[in-house]
Amino acid sequence: MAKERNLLQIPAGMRDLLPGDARNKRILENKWTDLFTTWGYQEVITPTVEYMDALAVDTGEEIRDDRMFQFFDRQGRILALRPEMTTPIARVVATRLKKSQFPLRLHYAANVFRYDDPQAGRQREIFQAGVELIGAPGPLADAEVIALAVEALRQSGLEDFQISLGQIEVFNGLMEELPLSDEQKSKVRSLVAKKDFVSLEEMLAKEGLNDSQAELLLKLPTLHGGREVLVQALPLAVNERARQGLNNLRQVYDALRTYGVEDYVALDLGVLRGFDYYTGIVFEGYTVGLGFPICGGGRYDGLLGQVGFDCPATGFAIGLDRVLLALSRSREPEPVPVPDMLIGGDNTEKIIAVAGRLRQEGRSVEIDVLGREEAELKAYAALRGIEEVVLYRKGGDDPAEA
Amino acid sequence: MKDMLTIALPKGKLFEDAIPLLQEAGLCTKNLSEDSRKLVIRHEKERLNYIICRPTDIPTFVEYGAADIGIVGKDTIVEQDKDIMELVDLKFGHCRFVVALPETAAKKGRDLTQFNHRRVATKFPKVAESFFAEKGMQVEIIKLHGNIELAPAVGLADMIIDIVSSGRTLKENNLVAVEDIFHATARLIANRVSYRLKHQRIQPVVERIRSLVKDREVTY
Repeated sequence: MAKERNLLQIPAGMRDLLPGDARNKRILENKWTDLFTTWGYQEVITPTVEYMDALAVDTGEEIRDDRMFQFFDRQGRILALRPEMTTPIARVVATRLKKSQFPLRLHYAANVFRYDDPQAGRQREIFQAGVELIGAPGPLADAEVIALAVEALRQSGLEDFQISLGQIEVFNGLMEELPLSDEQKSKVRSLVAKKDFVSLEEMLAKEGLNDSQAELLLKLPTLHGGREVLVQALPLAVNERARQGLNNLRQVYDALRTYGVEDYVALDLGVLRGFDYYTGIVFEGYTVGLGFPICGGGRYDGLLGQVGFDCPATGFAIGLDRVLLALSRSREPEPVPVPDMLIGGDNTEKIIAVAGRLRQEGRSVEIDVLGREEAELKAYAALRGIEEVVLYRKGGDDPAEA
Repeated sequence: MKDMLTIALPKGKLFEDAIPLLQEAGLCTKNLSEDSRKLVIRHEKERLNYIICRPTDIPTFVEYGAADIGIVGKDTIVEQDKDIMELVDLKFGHCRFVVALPETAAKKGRDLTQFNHRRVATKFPKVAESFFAEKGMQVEIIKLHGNIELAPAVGLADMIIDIVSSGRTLKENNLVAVEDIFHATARLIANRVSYRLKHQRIQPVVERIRSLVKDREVTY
C-alpha cells in the first residue's frame, strides 16, 4: 500500500514545474546566460552528485554535512547532492582549469539541494544562477560582479530591489581589538550570524567590555545608507585590518557609481554572512514583499586555497526560484503560449509536409494524431485557444480552412 | 510600498504593555484594542499597519516579511529557531524558565541528576533538550500544549520545564522550582529584509524604543 501511494508523491521540498512555470524559468535562465556571456563569462556544468568530501568545504551559507542529501556508492563511499555551486567550480578550477589564462570568468545555472526543513523560501531543490570571477583581487573585480548582479536582476523584470553591500573585514578588524577569548569571539560571531543583537548586547556587557568597544560592535548593523555611511563608519577603523576593509568598501562603491548602479546599492556594514568563508566584500540582494534575500555573494579568497590552488575569487548566486516568486507577485501571470495552428485530416503526407514547412518558418504547429473529425477538432482547438485549424483530406483540392 | 510599515502585535499579556510603548515612541495607536475583532488595523495616512495575532505566530509573520517588525516574548523566540533579527529587549513581560519538581520529590533532595532517564513534560522541547544536554543528562521529553503542571500529578511525567511569572500556578499544583534556566522578556524583532529595505522607516522607530526602555528595570 505504502509503495503505491509513493508512486504519486514527490519528496518534501521538491517541486514539479508545470508548463507556465517551466517556461518562465527557461526564459529567465536564457536571459541571464546571454547577459553573462556578453560580460565575457563562460558556462560550466558540473555533476549533480559528487563525493561528500569534495563538497564539505565550509561555504558562506553555513551548509553543514547534515544539511546535504547523502548516500553511498557500491564501494561504500559517501556521495552527496551539491548544496551550492561555488565549491564544485572551485574544484574544477583547481584541477582541470588551473592552466588556463586568468582571470577566469565562469557562470552557471544549476539545481542545488539542501536538506532543510522546508520553510520561508527554502525548498530542498533550489535553482541558482551565478558567476565566479577567479584570479582577480581588488575592487574592480568585486564591482564587476556586483554590477552584473544588478543588471541580471534588472533584466529579470524586478522593479524594486536593492543590493546591500558590506565588508566583512571591518567586523573582523573590530573583533581583533576586543579583549575576548577565542571561545567568546566565536560566541559573538554566532550571535551576529543569528542576528540576536539583544543577547550580543547582554554578553558584551557581561564580559566587561568598555562602553566604546561594545558600542562600536553594536553600531555596525545600524550603519546603512549611501556614501555618508563611509563617514559614519570612520570610528570603526580601529586598526589596519578594519581601515583597509573600509577603504576597500569605498573603492568598490566608487566603481559601482562609475557603472551607474549606485541607486540599486546601499552600503550596509550589518551584512555579515559566512565568517569562515568570505574574506572581503559581502553583499545580499532584496526585493520588496519577499522576506528573504534573492541573491548573495562576495569575495572568498580562501576557498581555492583549501582545494590546493591558492587564488583570489569573487562571485554571486541568484536564487532563480526566489526571483520568479517575486515576479509572480508583482505581475499578472502570462498565459501559457499555445500553437499557432492545428492541422488535421487524413492526408498524412500533405499534413506532415505543410507542418514541416511552417515549423521551419518558425510557426508553432500541432498535428492531430487522433484522426478527429472537423467538428471535434474545432471544439478541441477552441478549448486550447488555438486560433487556426486546417484540414487536408485525401483527394481533396484546397484545404478546408476553419 | 517601501514607506509602509507593518507591525505584528501579540494578543494576551504582552499586548497591554506594548501599546503605551508604541504610543510613547510616537506611533499612532488609535483603534488598537485586543477586544476588537479586527485583526488588521490600518492607518493609511500614517502609512502604518498593525497585525494582531497569537504570540506563537509572531515570529512566522516576521520571518516571511508579512510583518516588518513585531513584539514577542523571548520564550516564544527560543523555541522556534526562526530567521529573524532580535533588536531590543523591551524589559516587560518578564518570565523565567524553570525546572520544577513535585514538592515531595524536592524535599528528598534537589539534585536533578537523580532524575536521569526520567520523563519531563514541557511546552518547550527545544529549551528542555538543550538544558539537559548541557547537564549531560538524558531524559524523555514529553511535549504538551498546555497545563503542564498537571503532568506530574497524574504520573505522566516526573518533572516539568515551564515558564513562570509569579510562581502561583506552581504552588497551587504542589510543584517547586528547583532550577532557573533563563529569564525571558518581550523583544522587538524585525524581518531581515525589511530592516534593510525599509531602514529609513524602521531605524528611527527602533532608536526611539531603545532609548525609551534603556533605563527601565525589568519588572518582575
